Amino acid sequence: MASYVIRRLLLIVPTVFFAISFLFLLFFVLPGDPANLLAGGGDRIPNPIRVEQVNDKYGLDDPIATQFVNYWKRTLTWDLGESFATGRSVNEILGDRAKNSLRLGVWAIIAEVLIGIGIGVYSAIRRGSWVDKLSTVGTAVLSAVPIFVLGYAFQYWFAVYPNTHDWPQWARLRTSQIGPPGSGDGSWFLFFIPTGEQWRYVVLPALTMAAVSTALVARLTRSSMLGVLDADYMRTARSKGLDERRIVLRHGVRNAMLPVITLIGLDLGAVIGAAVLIETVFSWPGLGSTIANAVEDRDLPVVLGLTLVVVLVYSIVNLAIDISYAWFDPRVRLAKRDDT
Amino acid sequence: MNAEYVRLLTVVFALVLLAASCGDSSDDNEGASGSDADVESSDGESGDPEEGDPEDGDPSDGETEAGETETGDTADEGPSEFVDLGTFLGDPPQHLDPALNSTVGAYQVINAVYDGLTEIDASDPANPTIVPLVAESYEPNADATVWTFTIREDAAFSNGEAITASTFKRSWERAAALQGFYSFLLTFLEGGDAALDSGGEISGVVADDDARTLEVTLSAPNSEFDAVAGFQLFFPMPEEALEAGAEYENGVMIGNGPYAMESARTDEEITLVRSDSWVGDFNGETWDDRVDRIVFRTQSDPETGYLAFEAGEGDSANIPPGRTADAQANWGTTLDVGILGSYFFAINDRSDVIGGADNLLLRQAVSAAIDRDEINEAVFSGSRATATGITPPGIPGQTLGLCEFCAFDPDQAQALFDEWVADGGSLEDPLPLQFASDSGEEPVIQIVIDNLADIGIEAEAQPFPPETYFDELASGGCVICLAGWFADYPTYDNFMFNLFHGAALDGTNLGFINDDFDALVDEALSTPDSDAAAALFQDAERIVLNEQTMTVPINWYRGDYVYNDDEIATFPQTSLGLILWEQVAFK
Amino acid sequence: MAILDGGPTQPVSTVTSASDRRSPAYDFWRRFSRNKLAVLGLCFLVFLILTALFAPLIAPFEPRDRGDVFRGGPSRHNYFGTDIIGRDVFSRVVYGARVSLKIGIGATTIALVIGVVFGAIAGFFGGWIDTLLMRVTDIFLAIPYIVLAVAIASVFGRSENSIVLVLGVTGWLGVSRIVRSSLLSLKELEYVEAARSLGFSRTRIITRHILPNALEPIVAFGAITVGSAILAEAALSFLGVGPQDPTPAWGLMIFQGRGDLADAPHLVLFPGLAISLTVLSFQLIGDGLRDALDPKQR
Repeated sequence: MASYVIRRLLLIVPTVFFAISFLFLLFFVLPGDPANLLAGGGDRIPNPIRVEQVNDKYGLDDPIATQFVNYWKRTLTWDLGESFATGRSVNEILGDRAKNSLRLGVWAIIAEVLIGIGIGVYSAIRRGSWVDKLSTVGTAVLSAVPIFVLGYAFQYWFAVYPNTHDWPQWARLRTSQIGPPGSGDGSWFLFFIPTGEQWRYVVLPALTMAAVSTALVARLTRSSMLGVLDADYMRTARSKGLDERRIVLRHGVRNAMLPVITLIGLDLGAVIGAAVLIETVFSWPGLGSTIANAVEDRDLPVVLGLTLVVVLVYSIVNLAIDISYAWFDPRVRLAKRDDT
Repeated sequence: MNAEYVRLLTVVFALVLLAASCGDSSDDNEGASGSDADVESSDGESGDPEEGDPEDGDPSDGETEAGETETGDTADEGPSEFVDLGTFLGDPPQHLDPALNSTVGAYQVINAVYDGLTEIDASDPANPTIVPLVAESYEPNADATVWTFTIREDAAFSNGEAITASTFKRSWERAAALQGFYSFLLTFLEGGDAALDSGGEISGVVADDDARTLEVTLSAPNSEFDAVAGFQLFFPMPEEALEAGAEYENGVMIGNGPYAMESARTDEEITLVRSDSWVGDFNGETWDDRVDRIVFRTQSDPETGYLAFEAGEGDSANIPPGRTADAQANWGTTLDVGILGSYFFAINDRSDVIGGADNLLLRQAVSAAIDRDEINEAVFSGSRATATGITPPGIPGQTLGLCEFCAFDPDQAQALFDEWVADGGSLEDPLPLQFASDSGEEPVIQIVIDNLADIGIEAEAQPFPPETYFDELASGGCVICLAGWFADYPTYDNFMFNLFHGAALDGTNLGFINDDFDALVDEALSTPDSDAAAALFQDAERIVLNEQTMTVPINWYRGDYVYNDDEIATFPQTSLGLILWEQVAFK
Repeated sequence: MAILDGGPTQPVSTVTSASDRRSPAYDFWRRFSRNKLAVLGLCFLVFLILTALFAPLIAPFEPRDRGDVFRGGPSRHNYFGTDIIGRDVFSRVVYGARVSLKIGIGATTIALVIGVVFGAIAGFFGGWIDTLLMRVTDIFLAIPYIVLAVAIASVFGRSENSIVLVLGVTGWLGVSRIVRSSLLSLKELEYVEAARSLGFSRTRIITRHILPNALEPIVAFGAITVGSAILAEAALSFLGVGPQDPTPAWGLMIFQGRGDLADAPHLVLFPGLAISLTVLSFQLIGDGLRDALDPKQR
């Protein structure tokens, strides 16, 4: 097991290297010159002197190979450079955005896990009941609605409508931003727990982000549980006279979790890196939207720096998932050959 | 997992949540004011209006601060806070330094933090005038080549540093060294060119601190230099800005305006507080009711900003075109303010397809065929003003109706087109209408395509990704391209010179070089008599619109802010699009 | 979008009993039709395809035709109302079926082809080829989807074809994994040993015996992927990298109408319903396919 883990950890290095290098080279294929964009601010014709300044400052005129080497030399010392657009240090931007993404992501996953697995297990146990039918319909519908439509609908129902109809303050949620004005980073207890008014800002984005995945998790849990409940070893357990609930919880859930864990794991990656839609709809400044904006602005240091972290996190999460497989299902041996 | 274990975890989790929500009130994360006496305090109610989700635990706030963003109503109840959601949409501002900035959004903030030599008095919107501000008086010499500004005696920065004539001179030299987008304005000054090339002094600027005079010699006569002098590039900067150079904008910037920065900007927020050392004033009744604190929040786009505004999370926002009617019906807006900005098609004179003398009739036909009112109504919900020329009303010397081909006249258009065809003109390929995608301009293009089809011209949309659009224009790729131009300062030449003069950007991008036009503009600039100058500018504009038809004006911008008029008494927007923050007051 | 693993893949026995005379197709249909919801989905799909094919006959207007009423609500003249510059929403939704089907099916086809090839090579040859290819997929999986999408759209322009390309190029990853894992397990099965010992050539083994079984999980996955692709088009339009106006793409229409949710909800409602129903039906079909092909239920 240990050797497996170590091998996988080591493999992360080339993965990250090739992923980021690929992106780096991709940028040179993209039309649009970052120096022009920066000098012109994207909405007017750039001043040639300024363009030259930008080129000098960032070495954008150097041949690709030089830039590539320089980039990796800097990155290995964890100097991710400065944003072309605002001049802020990418490390700073990264810290800022990563915090926001993490916080939102964690809550989305909590919602997804609790609600999704809860519904899934319940539907499986009480197969055919109205709860089961309702949740089947509900989950189907949720996974078919475009997520930003859901987001806007939530914003409207829970924040705008209450305001235009003068609901009391305690009944309202907030449509956007991380926290109240002037609260900067927001106020968090133990990093993840919103305090004071903060939670009103977290609810809608987290729920929206969780919505589609909750549906998937619920369905997957349900079908997985159904498969497990009928399995031979369950019948054996029942015939031995064990209490049904214990059977379900001990054996059923544990074995049904495998595919669900994969899904959640994939989600973690999506949640952190690709949550662009949610972040835009709710003006939640996280990694996803920052990366998307930076790609459009051709802000290379920001794109590469943030993506680097996303790729790292994703790889590590993947590894954690694979390890947890072994814990959940003792039959799965972490094979000599990588068998994800 | 063991059921008991799960239960235990849940209890612990809930306890932690409870502790967190109750315990942290001392942290004062309520950005807002304590003046919300009349809004009920959010006492812990366990009723969640949305589907019971376990993650929120018990929202019992021990807070005495109530719901935050119904901000301060009565000013005497403590500091009032204004939350703006309409200035920064999308990306946070790149620059906040007046010497480097080129965006309107950041200008809003800069204008609140700094005061320049002059400012615009728009109390009569149709006749804006330039009045002295930090300069207590100024005057040009006979041929408008030398301007002398007398600086107020009590001018000072918020940290106490006095503002003298030398302050201005040093600040302008700093701007030359920083080479921002607008640094080319320094070429208006004698010696400015040299300073831009190699740094150092601007020889044409002479500061006499004892006499408190700043004598500015221009490189060419300019009867409207007083307007230019009020532009952000010419704002005074404190000593520490000289040392910090381009890094200055990353910290707390010291200025001399009605507001001061509370802390360094972040990508999400910029916060300003009232500066009590401000020497300016205005004879308004709302002087004492000035807002104490302004928080500019970055929103991802106008729709989200407007939505947040509707949800009560801010006091002002930008009006997305589709919400114009809603905004007018339910809130206060600045839609009645004419903004000095023009929305038009620029035409590349060097293009074979549509440029040059041979294609004049085609251009005129295109212009006359466009139904501008329909575009205004459909795409902008009537929030623009249909253009009758390129220069918008509100510019001194402007007059309406200069354009002979801007009224919607399909017959005239058809006749012109037929004549062009008879003269041998023909379009092998559809006419490409170019624009930047993702900016909501597609519907405009669609309407124009339909309009042109009605008179027999086949056209097609040619979108460019916004990142490369201006590159294309700069390298001569424009044929007939959609563009917008906002005045930097309220002068006629800001439209005439910057858009069409041969010397502007070396005339490289749009190819229009007309000696008569250049001569008229040059002469107008050196004519101190404003009426005479106006007549000359108008003649120049006629060349561009009618004789040569190098541009197809579409409409003029109007104010685009919405504000909560239940709470806000006044919210003035100037014709440059700037909000006069010191005149904003709560009810 | 969460790339959905098609469910636990089980090795499938291909030992067909000699007594099984009925054609597999009939058999399959019988099992599929037991699932009412799946049949419902199929009906909708058929309806959609017909709509796409006969769009000019069904739609009263062209998608680009403009009328006089801007942002009008549903009426006798315009069943679904009109959009911001007066175009008939009903006609645009109808023509939009073509765009969505093109994107969904196109993207999925590309994803499947690339994925199958990759997965087959990796799974069959194993060893270092397998490791290498899997590392390559890891790299691609790790790169945020957004970056790739925007980058590809920048290079190839913003249109339906770009979307097809983007989705195809990012979608193959899941497919290849499924193919690979089923191949890996299939290889070990006894009947393969038997076939080898009988002297069948490698190619024959692959094409005749292994591939058909390996491909079964993909069928269900493919159906669901079409649905995801259509949803993704909406997401990419939101980011501005999708088809551009005046293309009547459903996702684009929602994006353009999003600001008017309060005043003119029909702009979002109808294209939104169209997308939701389409995606839903593909998901139901996918579920049905998976159940029908599941060996446990044979």
